[in-house]
Amino acid sequence: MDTNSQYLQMFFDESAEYLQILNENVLMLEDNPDDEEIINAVFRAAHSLKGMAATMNFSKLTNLTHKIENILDKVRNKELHITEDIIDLLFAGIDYIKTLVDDLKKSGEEVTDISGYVEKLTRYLDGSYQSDDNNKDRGSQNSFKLTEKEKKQISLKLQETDSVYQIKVVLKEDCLLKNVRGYMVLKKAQELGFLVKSNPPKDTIEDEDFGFEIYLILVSSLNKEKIREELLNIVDVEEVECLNLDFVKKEAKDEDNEKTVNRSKKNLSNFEVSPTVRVDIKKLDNLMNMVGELLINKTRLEGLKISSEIYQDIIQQLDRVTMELHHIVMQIRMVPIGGIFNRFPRIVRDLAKELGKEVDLRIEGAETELDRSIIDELADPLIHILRNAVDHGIELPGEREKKGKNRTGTILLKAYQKGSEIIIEVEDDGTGINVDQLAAKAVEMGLTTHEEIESMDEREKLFFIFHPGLSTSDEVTDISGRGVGMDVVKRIVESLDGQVFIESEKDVGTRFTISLPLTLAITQALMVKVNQEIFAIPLGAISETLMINPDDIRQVRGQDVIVLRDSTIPIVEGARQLNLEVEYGNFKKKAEIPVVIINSGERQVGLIVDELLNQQEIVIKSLGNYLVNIKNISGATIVGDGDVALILDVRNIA
Amino acid sequence: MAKTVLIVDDAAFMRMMIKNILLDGGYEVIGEAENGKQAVDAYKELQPDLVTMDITMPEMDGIEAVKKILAINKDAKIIMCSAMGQQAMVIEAIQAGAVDFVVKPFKPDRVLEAVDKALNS
Repeated sequence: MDTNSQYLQMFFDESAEYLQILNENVLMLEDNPDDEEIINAVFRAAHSLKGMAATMNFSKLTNLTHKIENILDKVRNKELHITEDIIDLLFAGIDYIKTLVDDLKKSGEEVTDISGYVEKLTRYLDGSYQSDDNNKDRGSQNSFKLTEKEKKQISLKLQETDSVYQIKVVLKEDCLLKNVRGYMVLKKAQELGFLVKSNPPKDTIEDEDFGFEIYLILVSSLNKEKIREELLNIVDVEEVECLNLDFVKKEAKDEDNEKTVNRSKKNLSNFEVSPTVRVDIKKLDNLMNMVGELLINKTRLEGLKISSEIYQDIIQQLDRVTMELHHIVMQIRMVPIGGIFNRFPRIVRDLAKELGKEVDLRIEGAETELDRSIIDELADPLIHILRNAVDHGIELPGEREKKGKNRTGTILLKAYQKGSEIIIEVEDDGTGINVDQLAAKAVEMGLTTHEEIESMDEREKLFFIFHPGLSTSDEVTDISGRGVGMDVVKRIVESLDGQVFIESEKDVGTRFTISLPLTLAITQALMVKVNQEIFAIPLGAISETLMINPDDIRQVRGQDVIVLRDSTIPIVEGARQLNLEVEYGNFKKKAEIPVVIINSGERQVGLIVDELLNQQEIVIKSLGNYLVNIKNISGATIVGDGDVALILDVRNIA
Repeated sequence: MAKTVLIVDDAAFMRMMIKNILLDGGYEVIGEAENGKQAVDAYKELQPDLVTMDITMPEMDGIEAVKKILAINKDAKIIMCSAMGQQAMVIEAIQAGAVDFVVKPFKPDRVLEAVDKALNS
């Protein structure tokens, strides 16, 4: 209860702020009815309130704010014009919100009856939207109300042997392509009988704009058990609750009686999924830290190697529990990347409009999940890349037509998981990056020489774009071209242990690929020994390990290399890279030399070590501010016997 | 007798993945096809109990192939193999008559669940 009251406090504090914003902005709206900024501000405030109320399970407040939001949405879409009536309506709504919040403060219950007001709002929504009554009640689960039209439908369809059911379908939380699943549920329901309506409606389901529950009103001749069985047979359907609504049947016959099915909704509410809570991200960080500590101690305990059955038993149990715990904490921290993607269409739209370009932003994989701390950092680099794509990449419509391309340029923003990495791609079908111009600029700035450029391939030249102060755009605009940006992108991504790649072809387009680790805190690593010391190499960077003979080593321009499956890979001595004080070159005397092949982008390097130890989960600890600049070391971890092992920063080695 | 499955995917790697999952699940993989066109031909010839169908393929895509196969046999059971982010196309395929879908990367239990349910309904 204590924690709950803590959230309540936060809820009250924030609601007060939002109420303030609402009041101020609606007031301004009265004088500037066409100002989109203000409408958006009001909308955002209402939306935030709705989110908070829903999180706290305050159903009346959620419903109320939702309805207000719908009104504002219509205003925003110019379907409804700001009149004095609307302003009054909004003010009344704000007052009701305040009353409800005060109720909650006093008694913890939403006492005030708002149904009259909500009714009024609904009528406003209907008034401008008669053509599509599906959009009414969109997403709101508390007002599953049947309209006259729907009741008529029921009475028309209803045979004596038929029943009316309210069905609640709950999808599994790990359900993939939720919208398709939802679509299949609707399709199945239509096969089972006459689907009067669904909440959320079909369009909303297809847009994946819903939680895990779908409510259906179905007229069917089948019995409850059969319907339940049929729906449960759909993959990823977790639970189906089927409720007979015979009073609706009576009501449907008795047409002027306008009742809602809210009554029966009450019975169903017992099955409601557990409420969600908001948690300060710092607490999750702490939790993750503690799990890390636990993991370290578990590893230490394992290191004891006591030969006793009980010990073995405990270790196994502990192993399972810590793994599970780690998994859960990771999951809690994961949020869909869509959270930041959502802002982009607007940014791209505005920018394109400003520049007189036509751009279609397509987003794929918004449901891909990533550690919260990484996601927060990602927005800025992605905005940089998108802005660049619109400004420099996509050509003006006329120019595109001349090139034989579609007038409208396409930018594809795609996220997906690949192994233990998340890949984000931004691809445009614009003009591409002028590599030669880029190289020329690089020479001009003294970054390189003509001779060096000669021997570089396209990819290496493209990498100059990440250099601070370098831009191919001759004119500086507000948007980009000042040479800040791409270097920032690279820096941020690398600070997240990720990598940026770039591909570009003239008149075909440019693709940026960002790869990121799923999480920053705990990772799998290969433990190796170099000069009696243990080092950890993150598994994500390793492509393979192998044993070579000294005879396998060739020399190319003074560099030791080995040939592995037809490609030549340079090899470097671990001890030398780490500046350890030993005599270098000793490895050549050994019969078998362990080599770890490390990947960095397209490049591979073989790292010679003394011994390959084992693979284990490590908890990454930063070295702190004093040691931040040590070459080739990115952090440290604690191994089984309590010793500290340094983690190699393989990006610099490769 | 084991139920028979036709695997359609343009990537040999993916076909192998599904094949192994299905074999482990006790199904017989009666044939493989690497595009929609081949799939339709193979369906006519082999009459499998079930088809797993990739969406994006050269020659003829999965959705087109679903329509063609259902034109041959309206009770054909087809499961779509989709990548993340292809929701719209999966919906189109389901509309066209595919019974279910699985999402890459494939998880054996999910694939088998979908196949079992498709064949037993």
